[in-house]
Amino acid sequence: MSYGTFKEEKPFKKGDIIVYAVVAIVIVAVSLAVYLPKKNTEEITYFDVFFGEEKLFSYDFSTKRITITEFGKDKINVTDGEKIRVNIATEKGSNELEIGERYVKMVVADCSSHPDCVEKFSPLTTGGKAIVCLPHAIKVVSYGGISSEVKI
Amino acid sequence: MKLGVKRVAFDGILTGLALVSYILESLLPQIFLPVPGVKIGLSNIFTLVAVAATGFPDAIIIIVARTVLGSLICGTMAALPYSLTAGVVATTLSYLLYRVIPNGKISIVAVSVAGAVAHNLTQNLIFCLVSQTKEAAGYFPILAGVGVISGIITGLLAFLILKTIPDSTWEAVRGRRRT
Repeated sequence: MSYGTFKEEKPFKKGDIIVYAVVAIVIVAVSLAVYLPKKNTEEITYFDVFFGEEKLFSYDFSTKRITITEFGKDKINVTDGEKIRVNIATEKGSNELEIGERYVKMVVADCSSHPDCVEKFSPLTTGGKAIVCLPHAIKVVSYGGISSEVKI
Repeated sequence: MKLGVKRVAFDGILTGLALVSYILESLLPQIFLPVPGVKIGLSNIFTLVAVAATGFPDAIIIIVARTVLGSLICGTMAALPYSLTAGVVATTLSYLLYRVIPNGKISIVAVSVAGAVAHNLTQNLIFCLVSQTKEAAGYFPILAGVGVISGIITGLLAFLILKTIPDSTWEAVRGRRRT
């Protein structure tokens, strides 16, 4: 293997066609594998919030009702208003969710000055999406199409 | 394997430049696509330069040092498992494409695109496994598209650096010529 001159280096070479073709095939194949089995991408109807493996609460947009589990009852604090605020306090830290008209988003996480779950995850407006706070093991999973009562 | 003084110093410079660009990029607000993992990845320019100009050990040292120090400084240690794995996978693939498989037949821009897509795919996969959230896989098509665009940008910038710096400098860094 030799390290030749870079003066003859070009931004495009013949071999690139194979690389770009393989990249395109991988992207299309993985995207199809991700999207084809998933039919639950309609407008959000409810979402579940987990701490690790344990469910803390669910929120149903059609009934506008929060169902807090036995595990979550001492960790959840709900503030009603035009937009509902749900504070989640666990031994790992504190998070706050904002629930509005057919969306939920993470608005506060005290893990760092630039928490990914607040700054990099967009609000959940359709089913089959998630917001994850890795440092605090908090996970919000959205569902579309079916109501939470059917599932529960 | 023994690295010469010039090569160690050069790797230090590349690591410093990669770290500074990583920190500066992390300060930019995510206004265009609020999806975790979406960024240009300017620090990858310097890993690509190492892949092309010095060697695999240098590139791995730079990516590991930049990822660990960047996570410590930016306070994103929770992201370290998937950032580090994705960085090592992308760097290894870049090295294989540029130096091992068809030596000299593939441009640094195509290598950069393949590396960026491999990085985002690996990062997404590890994130799904670590967080046990299969729904996060839904972000892959966006991440892959961004990977192609950012790969072209970083690849072109690495190409310009390689073309601009005289070959004698690279030879001196690799320790094949007295200066």
